[in-house]
Amino acid sequence: MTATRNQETDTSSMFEVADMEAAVEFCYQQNWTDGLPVVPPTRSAVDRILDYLGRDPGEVIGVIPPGNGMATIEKVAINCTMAGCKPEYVPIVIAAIEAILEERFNLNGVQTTTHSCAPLCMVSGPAVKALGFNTREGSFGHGCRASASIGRAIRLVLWNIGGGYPGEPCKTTLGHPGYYSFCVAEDQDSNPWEALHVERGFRPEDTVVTLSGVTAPLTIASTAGYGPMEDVFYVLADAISVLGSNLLTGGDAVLVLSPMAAKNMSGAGYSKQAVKAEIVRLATRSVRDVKRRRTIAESNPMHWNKIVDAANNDARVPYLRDPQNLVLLTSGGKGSGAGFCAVCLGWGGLGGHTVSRRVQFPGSLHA
Amino acid sequence: MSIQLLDPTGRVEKGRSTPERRIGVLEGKRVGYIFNQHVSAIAFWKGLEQALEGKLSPLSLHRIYKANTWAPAPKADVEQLLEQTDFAVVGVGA
Repeated sequence: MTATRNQETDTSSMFEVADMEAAVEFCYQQNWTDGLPVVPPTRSAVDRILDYLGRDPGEVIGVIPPGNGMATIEKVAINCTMAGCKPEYVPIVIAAIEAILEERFNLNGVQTTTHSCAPLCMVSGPAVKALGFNTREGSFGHGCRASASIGRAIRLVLWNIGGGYPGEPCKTTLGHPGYYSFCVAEDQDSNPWEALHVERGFRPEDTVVTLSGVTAPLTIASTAGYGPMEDVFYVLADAISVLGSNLLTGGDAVLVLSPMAAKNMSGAGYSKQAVKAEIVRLATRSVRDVKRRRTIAESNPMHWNKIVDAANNDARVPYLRDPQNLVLLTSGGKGSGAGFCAVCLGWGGLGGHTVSRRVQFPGSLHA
Repeated sequence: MSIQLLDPTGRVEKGRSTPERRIGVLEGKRVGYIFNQHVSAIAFWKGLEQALEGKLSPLSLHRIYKANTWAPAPKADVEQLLEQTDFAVVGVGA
């Protein structure tokens, strides 16, 4: 197969291939894909997104580590095309990229660490319904174009613009399926409390992306359908306070509550803050246990010995140092009495800290 | 009919850099250390510092031990180190 380098646009080179089949193969040859086929980024498809956005294609959103490629509006639009995004999804991708470029997220570290954390994009606000996100059965997974293609577009930006290739330079030991696409939306209809973005200081009418650098979801049978809430909290906290978790160094965890779990917690009189406080209180391990996990140097400021007496084997080491370190999201199907929930553990104090950004739509969704 | 594809990769801005002046000898100079404090390198780094200091008799020492192994040292700290040292030894990785 041959491809001809064609005219240069303002910011992007153009290549000519024979047909659609050749285009898909060409993208593989150029290492432009995450391993799955991509939608060929033709001029017309990319222009549809650029026309919708109405922004300067050369506008730089940021520099994506570790390769330090410049993420212009056009480059993001190209990658969104390849991921299968509709034009109206793209502002969400742009906001997500802006968010993870905040220094506290430490994107260079998230991209290159031997850990297996990936940016999880949590969408909340009116666009969840307007753009057709699936917030019910399988909300983390397959079957919904909005979450699948937005999550994948973020990955393709990290891949193609950031040069985030496994091996060199990215050293993630295992990765996880969320490295393909990792996006979930909040079900405000089932959420008995304030929306995630409202809790984080945004207006209810805003659509906001909140991102954390986290591991794959671990399903928890919380027994929220029939268990007393004290036991449900104990089970949820137990899933967080595992010895292999980097949370011993600080940092965030995302806990996704199924609607039933959230409803029963609320029905038992727990506010969102009370739920968080209870889980933070319970997500601990004894010093005796934690000493078996040699995380970081004892001299390191993040070491748990800075907050707990390391000489007292019975003292409890908290996995979440503050309720703000626990992100609570309501999403998923009704489920069964098992009250399935999921937790995604963060990279620890090292980075991937939770960041939020308001989505700016060019049209009617949000001015 | 042929298809034209746009390149999705990002342009990398090449920063200009000028070669630093070569140091003729390392002995008796102002030495800087930037160490990531990775747990697996603590003992090695301590030994390295001792060996360097024994061999080079530095005029002065300036240390940056990063609080977060996995994030860059604060820019201001690095700039200060550049001003106060003739050369620096940087410990990265694990």
